[in-house]
Amino acid sequence: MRSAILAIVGALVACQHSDVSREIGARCDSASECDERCLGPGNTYPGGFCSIACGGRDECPGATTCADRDGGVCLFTCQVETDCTFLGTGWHCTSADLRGGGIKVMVCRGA
Amino acid sequence: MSRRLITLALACAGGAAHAQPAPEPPPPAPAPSVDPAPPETAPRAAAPAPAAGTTGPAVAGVLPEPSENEIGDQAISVEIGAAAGGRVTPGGLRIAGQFLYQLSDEDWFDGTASFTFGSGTAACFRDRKDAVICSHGVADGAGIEVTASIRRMFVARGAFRPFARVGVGFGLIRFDRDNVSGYTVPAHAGGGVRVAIAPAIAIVAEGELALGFASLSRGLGSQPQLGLAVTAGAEFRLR
Repeated sequence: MRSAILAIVGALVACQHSDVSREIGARCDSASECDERCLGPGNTYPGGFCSIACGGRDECPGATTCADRDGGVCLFTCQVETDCTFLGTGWHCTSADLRGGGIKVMVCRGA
Repeated sequence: MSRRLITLALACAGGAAHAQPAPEPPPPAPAPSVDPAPPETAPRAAAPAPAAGTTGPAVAGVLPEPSENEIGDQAISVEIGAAAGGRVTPGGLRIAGQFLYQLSDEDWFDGTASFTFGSGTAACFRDRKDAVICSHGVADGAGIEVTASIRRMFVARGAFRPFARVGVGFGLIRFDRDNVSGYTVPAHAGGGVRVAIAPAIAIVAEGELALGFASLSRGLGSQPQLGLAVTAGAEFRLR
């Protein structure tokens, strides 16, 4: 009995953790899998990508920025290729226009 | 069905750690005093005679005099309150109905049907490895559960009679917006207090902790469950 309780408590303590969420980064096929919108699976967003619409950098949560793509969406920022490996195969660190900023930023996206 | 059979069945289910042992013979009646007590106080001093087919009193005089038949042999109650869940444990408004059946002087079988109504907020997603992760809030989801418990009544302190409860349950849970459902088998432990406000009516308030596992759909598989509930309501003696 005691071991069962310890197992349950241990499983709860070792709470599931993820670098992505329904808001940003989860895999998706439709918007119902995301808080706001799903960038459907394909070469640009391999596996699908949950994101939120934005008009500027300030509207994106931490570790993301507003890329001027698909009407303005938040994407993970990066500096080197390995920064995007947590998103899976097909994701690369490439430049994109910053929405509302007039500069280039490095973000994770597909080919 | 006899009380002993119910007690035995609950013990086998793992929820009767406090089930009463085999009845012991009642203590010998006190020797008559040389100076007899006044007639109106004599019955209070004597241990109550055990009813036929029931276990005898564990300890004569443990229960206070006013509560001799305060709870009754059978009772029902309805309670309302709040349940806190999280992750894949439902939480929200809790409504529960209970049936109490006396097993011994201190212990009652407590059969409970409870309903939990939380928000329908979606909180599950697929991570980048395609594993489903759910992170519901404390008041999300819905559930229904039946629980078999043993409730032990303690000595009343004034108008308040505390009790403790342990048991096991089986329930169905659902997170509608995430299309996640499944069943759960939690263990319950808790306690509370009842206050008699009329010969057959009492106010009851209690809190409980539920700990167990759930088997869920959408590839979530077996998940730990941890919930907390606080409820209050009215208890009605049937007989």
